[in-house]
Amino acid sequence: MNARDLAGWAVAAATAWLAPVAQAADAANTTPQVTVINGCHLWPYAQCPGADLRHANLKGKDLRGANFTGAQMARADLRFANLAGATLDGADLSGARGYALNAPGASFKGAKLIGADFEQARMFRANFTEADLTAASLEAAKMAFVWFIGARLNNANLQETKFNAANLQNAHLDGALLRYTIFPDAFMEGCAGCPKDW
Amino acid sequence: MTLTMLRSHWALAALLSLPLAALAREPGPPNPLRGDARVLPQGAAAFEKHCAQCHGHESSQTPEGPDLRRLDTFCRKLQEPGLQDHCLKDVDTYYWRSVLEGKVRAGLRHMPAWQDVLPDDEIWAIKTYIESRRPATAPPR
Repeated sequence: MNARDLAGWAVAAATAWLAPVAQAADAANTTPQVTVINGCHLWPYAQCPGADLRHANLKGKDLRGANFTGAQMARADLRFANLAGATLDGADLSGARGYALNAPGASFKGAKLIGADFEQARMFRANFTEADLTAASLEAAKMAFVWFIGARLNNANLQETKFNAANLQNAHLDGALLRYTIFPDAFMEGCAGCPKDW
Repeated sequence: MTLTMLRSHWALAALLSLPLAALAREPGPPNPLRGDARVLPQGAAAFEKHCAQCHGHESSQTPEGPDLRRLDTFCRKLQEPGLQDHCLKDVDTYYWRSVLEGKVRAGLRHMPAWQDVLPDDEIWAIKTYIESRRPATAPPR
């Protein structure tokens, strides 16, 4: 290697750290790709009540504040997606995949989530009042201050689920897996299948 | 009765037969005041009075509520006008419902409902004002 090559290599090495910065700036300014499924434009604050999103690939999508009231989302892929503050009241999410889903403040009132997988999800202050989570997985999910009033969690996988200050009034947990599940300050009046020693 | 009188009676009857809703502007989204600089003073005053305490003053770095300038961050990146209009309408719908109904999360009220408190024009003037305060780059999360 001669001196010129060596100098070129040194300059390249010294400025290599700039490349990720430049790429990040480009990414912030480029036109984003818009996914449209059955007429529903999937972007933050999307207004898609009643949309047909069955089997839809929504992995990693930023859908904060979206309105999916009554939407059909059975077996949708919501892994790593962001549903912060979204409304999914009455939606059908049976069999949906939501590993590491971020959904603080989201509303799932009366939603059907039978067999859904929300392992490692973060759902502070979400609302599952009267929702059906039969056989769903909330393994290691963070459910602080979440409302499950009258919700069905029969046969659900609740291993390591954190129910800090959750409201489980009149919820149904019969048959649920409660290994290392924690309920600090949870409200469990009328709950069937809730532990009695918290 | 003269022809002129007949005509004016006919015009009056036609006007009265219009439904009231047709005479009034549709109040909901999209923002009917978008880009209207004349409403900025009204929007600024209303924002300062009703919103800034939680959503932050111009100088505030740590507002308790969300920074509303970020609402349409995604839409602003879209180049196609029709697509951007659609996106902005969705954001307007979210904003409109949030303002009218307020925010209650798991029994805790984070924001009061402004329905029957703020007039429609003032709600949209606030939105127009917020849009006028867009920073050159997206504000930090």
